[in-house]
Amino acid sequence: MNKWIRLMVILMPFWFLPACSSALSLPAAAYVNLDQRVPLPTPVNSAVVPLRVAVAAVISPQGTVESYTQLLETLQSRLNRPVELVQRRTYLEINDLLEQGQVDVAFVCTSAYIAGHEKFGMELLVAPQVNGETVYYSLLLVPNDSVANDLADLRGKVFAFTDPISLSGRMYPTYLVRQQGSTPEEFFGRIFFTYSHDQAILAVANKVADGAAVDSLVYEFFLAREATIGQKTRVIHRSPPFGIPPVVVNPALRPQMKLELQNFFLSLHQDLQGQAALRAIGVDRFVPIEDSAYQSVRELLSDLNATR
Amino acid sequence: MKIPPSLQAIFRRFWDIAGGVSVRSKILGIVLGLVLLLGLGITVQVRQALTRTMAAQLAEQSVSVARDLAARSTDLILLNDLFALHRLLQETKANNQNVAYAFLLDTQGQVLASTYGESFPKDLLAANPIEPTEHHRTLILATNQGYVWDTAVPILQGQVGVARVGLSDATLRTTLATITNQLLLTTALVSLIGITAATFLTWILTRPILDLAQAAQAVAKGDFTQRVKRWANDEIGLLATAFNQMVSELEKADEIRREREILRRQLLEKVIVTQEDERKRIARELHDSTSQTLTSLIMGLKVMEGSCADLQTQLQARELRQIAIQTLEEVHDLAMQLRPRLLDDLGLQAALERLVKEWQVRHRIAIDLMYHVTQERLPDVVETALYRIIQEALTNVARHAQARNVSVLIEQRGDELVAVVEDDGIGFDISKITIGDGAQAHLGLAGMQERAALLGGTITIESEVGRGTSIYIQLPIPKAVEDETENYDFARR
Amino acid sequence: MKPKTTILLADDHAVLRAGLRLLLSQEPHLQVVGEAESGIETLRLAEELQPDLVLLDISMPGLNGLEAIGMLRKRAPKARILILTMHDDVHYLRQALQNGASGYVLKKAADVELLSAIQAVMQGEIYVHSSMTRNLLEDILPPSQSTDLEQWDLLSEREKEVLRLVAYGYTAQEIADQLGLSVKTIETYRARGMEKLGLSSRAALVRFALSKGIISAE
Repeated sequence: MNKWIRLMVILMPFWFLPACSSALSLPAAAYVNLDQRVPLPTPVNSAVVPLRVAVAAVISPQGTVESYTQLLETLQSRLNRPVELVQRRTYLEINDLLEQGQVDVAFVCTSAYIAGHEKFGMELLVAPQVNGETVYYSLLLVPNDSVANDLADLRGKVFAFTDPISLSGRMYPTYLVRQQGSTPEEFFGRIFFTYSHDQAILAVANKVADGAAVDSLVYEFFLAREATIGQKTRVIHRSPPFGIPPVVVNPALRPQMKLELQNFFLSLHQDLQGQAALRAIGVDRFVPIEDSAYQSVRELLSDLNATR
Repeated sequence: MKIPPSLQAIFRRFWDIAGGVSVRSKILGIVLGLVLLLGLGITVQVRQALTRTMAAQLAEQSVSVARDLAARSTDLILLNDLFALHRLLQETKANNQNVAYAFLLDTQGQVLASTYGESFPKDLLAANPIEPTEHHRTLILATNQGYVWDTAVPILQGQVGVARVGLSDATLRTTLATITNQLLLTTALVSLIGITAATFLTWILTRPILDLAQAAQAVAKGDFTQRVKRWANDEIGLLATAFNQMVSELEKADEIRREREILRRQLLEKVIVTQEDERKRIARELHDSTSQTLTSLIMGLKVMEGSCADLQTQLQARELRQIAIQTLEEVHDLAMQLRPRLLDDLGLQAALERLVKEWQVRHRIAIDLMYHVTQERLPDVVETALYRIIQEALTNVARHAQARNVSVLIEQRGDELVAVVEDDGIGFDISKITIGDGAQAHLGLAGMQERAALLGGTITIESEVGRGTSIYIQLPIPKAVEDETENYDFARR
Repeated sequence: MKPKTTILLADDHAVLRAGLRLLLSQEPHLQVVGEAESGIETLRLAEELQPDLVLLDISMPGLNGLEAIGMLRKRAPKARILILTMHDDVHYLRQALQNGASGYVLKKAADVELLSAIQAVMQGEIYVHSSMTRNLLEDILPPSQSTDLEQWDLLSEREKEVLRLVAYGYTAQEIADQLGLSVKTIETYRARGMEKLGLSSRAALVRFALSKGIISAE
């Protein structure tokens, strides 16, 4: 009997160990009670309302940030007012923002302008000039080693669109397909949307798509930065010139602001800082522009709509 | 190095207690102690190692999850796709069981989206501030739910915001607990095995040792036939063999001792017998020749006295006759003392009565004899021995006791003879008997005891200083007269 | 002339016989007719010679003198037997007289007493040496009993128990062990008991106990 008692005593430390098993000791930087919650504060409107500049999803969001940061910083310092970059996944969203007055000024795609102008009176502010022109093209791209030479060769293949209302990235190729007497859904083996031109280029370069239609400005800009793209892709078709994607403002913008902005853009090329900013986005300078520059596109689009 | 006495005392006390437990307990204690020590040691070590490893892993993981989140959320934040952001956060949480929380901050440090939904832990935001230039920053936060590895990663160099991910230590703790329990269980199991093994080992060791102890005890009591079994060819087996040898030697020595004892007894018998024979011979001589001759002389002188005319010669003859008579008396007494004829002729009772009477007269001490034995005559050896013993006892009483009354009792009790010589003298201290107050008394008593022992009897002495002495003699009576075969035989004429 | 008393000398000691012969020869009415050296020879000669008196030594080789007395009486009925011996012990005397001897003379006093002893015996009296007379008388008279049985009953149970065991010759330790008492207690009981009975020794106690049947005679 005595022996068992002694045994118990000896084994006593054991009983305490499981309790210790969960005891950890680590060097903690601070103590936080995760169950003490507070409702998230609603964003305080800063005293100063920033100027909201939207950039359409022509290239990837990060790419847009990269390219436009300098410009926006210049604008910010020029206006002496905080400038906010706004991006959305689709062109339509930007249009909506403009319409709702949630964005002041935007870089939009041509087709977006046309739709917006028609819908709520989107106003032109300025237009970029690239290579001395205020036009751009839709390019049909195929992988470099592809045997396709024009759209007809891409029948039954995988095709990449960009944004649903993109002129160069969707509308124009659809128009071409229509002219073949088909619809993209029938004509191509598979279609998908990349929502940005540089993604479409990459898709072709990496042979994810057999073909894509992209904004020529983007393509050239891409080529300038990434020479290998040129080795991996080939242009098999070039569209007729389209009016270059403009810079627009919402119609409710104060005329004073509109004027200031206009002056800013138009005089941007005049100093080094501005030139650097322009280079970053691949633009020579900004020039005034009239609505009539987009008439050809308008007609093309209505053609497209008519044959739907 | 001198150890302070208090410490020494503690050591001694410890050793008393520790040394006193059984071998089994000792072995058990050691085995158990070692197993437990090992088990606990391993457990602690493993826990520590595991904690370190898993902590490092969690830290790494938190960084990787945060960076992944940062990368994947970049476009979504830029595009302000809040729904997708939420989905992304949920996915992040769902894909990794360790994720406690994940949230995204904008460039102002406001929460864009978090896994906590509408409310947010108060102190969490500020807990891990990060600079846009840093690659990432991992901190360990102590929370009410345990430890959390919180990593902050700037999104697009801080231009878009910050991604924060917190990994909890839940799995770490669970794993740790599981491992600990397993190890402890194993330790307990091994302990049990250890106990079994120790018990078995003890049994193997102590069985032969206990055997030996038992055998040794038996040998101590005089049993030299003890031999122990040799259980194994180990040190204990050696001991067993040595023990057996020792007992064999003891047995032999005992044999020799016995034989010597027998020889001694025989020698003693012989001595006594010879002594008695000698006495008898001398007594007989004195009685037969010397007395007779003296008697003759007396008679002759009487005649001469009567027939002599000369008065001078007459007187001379008378004087000579007186001398002769006195001499005869002395010779008679001497013969009597040496060996009373009475004993042979008429038996013990007569001899004792004579002895007692003479003794009483000689020493002027009252002596009361009670002889009550139904048997007519007892065997020679018994009668002689008893006579001599009582003679010796009375001599001692006369010499030392200073008694006033003496009582001699001989009676039969069952098949043994009981004699008691009792005096009311000064007595003596029995315990001092071995020291020996003079070789004489000691030898006398020893002689009595030997005589009794030769016949298979005993002598018991009870004495108290001032109260007198009692000597109890106890002799077994042989069944038939034919039993007395040995040398101890004074044949009656 | 009175016929001479014929005497047979039975003694194994030649010198003594010579002395006796010398002594007896002083008396004219005594005549030694034979000498025997052993018990058997004594019987033979007695039967043959039919003497008036046999001077018999008890301790002769072969047949014991005491034993011979009885046989002599048979073989020589008219012979009177006078024991002539060294043994001055009353036991011999008693035995001799019991066996049929007419007299008992000690050799050491033979020089003065022998003749008168012979005379007495021939006259038909019993002759016993004077120094032995008292011994004989002592034997005849029983020792006084000074204790009665009633006094035994006055003892306590314990005292009786103790005294009984004392009478049986047990040591004080044995009695103590048997009764489950200490040795001292036993001693006390014994002393008290003995005192009450007026006995002074264990032997006396045994005597008393036997006579009253308190302990059994075995």
